[in-house]
Amino acid sequence: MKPLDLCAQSGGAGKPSFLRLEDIVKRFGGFTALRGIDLQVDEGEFICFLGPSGCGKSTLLRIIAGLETHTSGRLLESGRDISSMSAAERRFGILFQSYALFPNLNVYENVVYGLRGRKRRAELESRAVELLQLVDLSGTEKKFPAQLSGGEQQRVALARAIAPSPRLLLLDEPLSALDAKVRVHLRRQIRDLQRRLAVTTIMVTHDQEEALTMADRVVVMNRGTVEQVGTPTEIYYSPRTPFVANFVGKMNFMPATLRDETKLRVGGTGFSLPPPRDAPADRHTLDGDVLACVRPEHIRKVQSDGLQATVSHVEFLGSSWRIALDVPALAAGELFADFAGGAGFTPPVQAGERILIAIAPERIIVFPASAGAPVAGGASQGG
Amino acid sequence: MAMAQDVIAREPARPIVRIENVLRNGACVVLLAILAVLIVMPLYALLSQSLEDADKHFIGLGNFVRYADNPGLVQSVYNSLFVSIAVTAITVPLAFGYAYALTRSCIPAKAIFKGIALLPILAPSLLPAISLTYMFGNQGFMRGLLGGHSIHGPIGIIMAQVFHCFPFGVLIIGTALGISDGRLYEVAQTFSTPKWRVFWTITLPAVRYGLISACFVIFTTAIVDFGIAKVIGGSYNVLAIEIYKQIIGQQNFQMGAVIGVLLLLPALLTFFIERYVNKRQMSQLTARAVLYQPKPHRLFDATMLAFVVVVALCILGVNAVAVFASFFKLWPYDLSFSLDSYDFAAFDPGGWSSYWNSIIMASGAALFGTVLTFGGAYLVEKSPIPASLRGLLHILAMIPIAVPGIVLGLGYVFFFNDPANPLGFLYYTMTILVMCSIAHYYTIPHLTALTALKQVDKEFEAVSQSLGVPFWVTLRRVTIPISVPVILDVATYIFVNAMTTVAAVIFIYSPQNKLASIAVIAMEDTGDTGAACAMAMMILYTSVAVKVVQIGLSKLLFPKLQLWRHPDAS
Repeated sequence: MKPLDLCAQSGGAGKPSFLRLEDIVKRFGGFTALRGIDLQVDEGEFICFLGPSGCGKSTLLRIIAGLETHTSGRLLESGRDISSMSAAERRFGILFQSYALFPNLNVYENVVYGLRGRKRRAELESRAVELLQLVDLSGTEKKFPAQLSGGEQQRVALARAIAPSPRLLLLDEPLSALDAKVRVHLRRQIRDLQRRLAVTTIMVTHDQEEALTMADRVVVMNRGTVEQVGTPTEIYYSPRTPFVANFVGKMNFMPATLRDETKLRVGGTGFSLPPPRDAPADRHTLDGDVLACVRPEHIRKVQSDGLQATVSHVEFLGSSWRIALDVPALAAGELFADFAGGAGFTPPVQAGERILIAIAPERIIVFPASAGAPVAGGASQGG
Repeated sequence: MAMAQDVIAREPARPIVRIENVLRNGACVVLLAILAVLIVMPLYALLSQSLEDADKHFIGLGNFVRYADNPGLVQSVYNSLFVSIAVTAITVPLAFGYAYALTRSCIPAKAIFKGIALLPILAPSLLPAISLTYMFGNQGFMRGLLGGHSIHGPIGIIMAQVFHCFPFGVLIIGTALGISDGRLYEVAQTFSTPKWRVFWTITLPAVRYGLISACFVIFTTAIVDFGIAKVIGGSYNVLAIEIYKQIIGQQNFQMGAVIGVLLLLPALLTFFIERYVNKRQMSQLTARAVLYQPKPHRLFDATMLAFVVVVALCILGVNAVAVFASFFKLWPYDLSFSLDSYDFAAFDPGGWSSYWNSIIMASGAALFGTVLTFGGAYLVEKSPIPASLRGLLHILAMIPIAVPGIVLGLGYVFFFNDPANPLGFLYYTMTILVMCSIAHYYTIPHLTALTALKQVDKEFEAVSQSLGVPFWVTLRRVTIPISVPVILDVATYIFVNAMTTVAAVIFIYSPQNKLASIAVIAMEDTGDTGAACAMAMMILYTSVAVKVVQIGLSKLLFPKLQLWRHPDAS
């Protein structure tokens, strides 16, 4: 796989990217759904638009599909402006949450719906066989959608979407209506299929786990803007805004002060941060009041040489335990730490227990305090 | 690369998209033009006529002032109000009791009782009027029961109207009672709330919008009705009769227009109250509500059954009298069986041709009306046409429900009989009868089709577009096939109503294309009550037959054609 850009704009040297969005704005009456979106999508890439409901991700997808018209901005496909083209002219494959299979047509007729009139019957049939094999549904040609399970219906819809070999596949929350187990299975099937066909794909989802497991790059959106574009690991470990930090995974936020770019003071405790890895120019401006963030799994329990903490609450998560801690030295209210459960039936610590904890300075992420702390635990979903 | 080939293969798409847009917008403009001719222009002609003198000079509200100065005319307003209020006051409690029994008790054969309650919808409104004349008229076998009063007058009008309006009350109140949340009753039970308190605090508040709606619908139906008052009203003047007299008798078109405008008022009021009430009522039933299931209760069920049986017998009795009257020489005095009453040529110059004219007219209205209403609903709901056109289409489709038949018919006279109108050649033709019937019954089919189309996944159009399939292919292969039941429903509705209407066509039929419902009035006028009953029954038989065919088709035939609806059956 090719190395991925840290930020969306930097892929522009040389060849034009497959899809390029320039300052896309969408207004519905007085409401601005998209506030100037810039994005580049490379050929063969799997992109996820991730964000809470109402962030504009579905609107953006529908604009790319040609089902909505943007208010201003440009949409370029391989350097060619397709802004004024209709969905029929763009012919991108689309998959909806509702499957949108035609209920009165059988599986075969659904799959070849977009091919009719363009191919002979024999060609159609062999193409349908091939497509149904691809989605693992051979032999269901004569069945009607209502006779299939939700997961099967969505695979038929997928076969229908890729039947005309679209160069771009758009998936609008395709897994949201499915059971958890089916969802995980289909997640992988879609991803495998996408790699095999090397078809550029954009998927909209509000499920961070889906985005992190499937995407080459994730576009985190909030209130009509792009908060961050990056690989799943970048999004998770180097969130660029408090919103991303809070929305993806669980995050502890602590008010702190920063001096000389590296000297961080949280409550009564000092941390010496390593020199910044990315965007070095930014760190100066950070000096002063900041928000220090750390993931629960980066708070470790230690035997000695740590900060005093009192366990206030213990919650079983299955593969680990989430511990609520009161740490006077950090003066940050309640902090959450994830401790491995091991094989035991008993929690690693008990409520009321006094323990020592440590946080590795390189795991601490710092945002300017003016960025505003999201409500603790508000939008995070624990994965 | 494959990409380059795709680009080439894709080029022809462009003209198709253009054709699609031209077709859609074109269809929209054509439909708007049709609705303008069918609905807007006639109403405009009526309104302008009411503000002009006989020489077409604008005189503002002069006609209305003259109207108010005429004590005879004003009396007809009072008469209409009195009759309509009485009908509402009698019908709503009856309908409430009947609907309550159907939804909240465990009486047997609910489907049959419901069918009986709705039977009057399939008959022309004249039918109860004729039956009542037959029973209580000058030679009526039950005349004595009226204690010396004549059936020809307010008593007859009110009785016949109650029969005519009863099904609407049962439908509306029954719907309101049917959507109550069963959990509320379960909660009340856990507090052992007394029954009367449950009724006052849960049942009545839940159906109050339904009751309001029923009151207004029945009041309006009663006040605008023409046929009943014509047959049984005698010399008792009501507004709809007054229009008829002004136009046919005195050729006073301006005064007829004024009364037409007056009759628009209650209908308009009802329309807005209905809309308001519907919104409120729908919001009561949340997705999580549990429907109420009545539990057996011997005394209550027995009382309810007794009530329902009495009402059902009355409805059946009124219809049965018409049946008997049509099959016996002079029922109940001379019980020799005879089909003489069906030899319509002996009573009316139109003979059987009136009946066939009605069939042709109703079929034409059903065919073109279904195409127009379904097509219009499709354009409104499924097409990316400009929002202004969409809104305009919808508003035009909503107007007819607020226009009484006699007012619309009068508008047609003014509009099509105008020598300056190039469409004047349509006057006195079968076409204008079809047009008026479609216009009169446009709204309900439009709403029915709209509701059905709303339930079709809106992404079908998006999928088709992205697959490069033009909209007409998806319309033909998917949307229409899955809408067949609702299309049948709409066609039946228009057919049945067109068969029974009198008011909408009374001014615009010609002797060459006289209709069955008109013939009923004519034969009643000449005292041939038996023949009038026979013709009214022919209308009822036809409507029932069409309804049965529709139900049969949707219940028996379609499961076979539409396997996809019943996945388990295959």
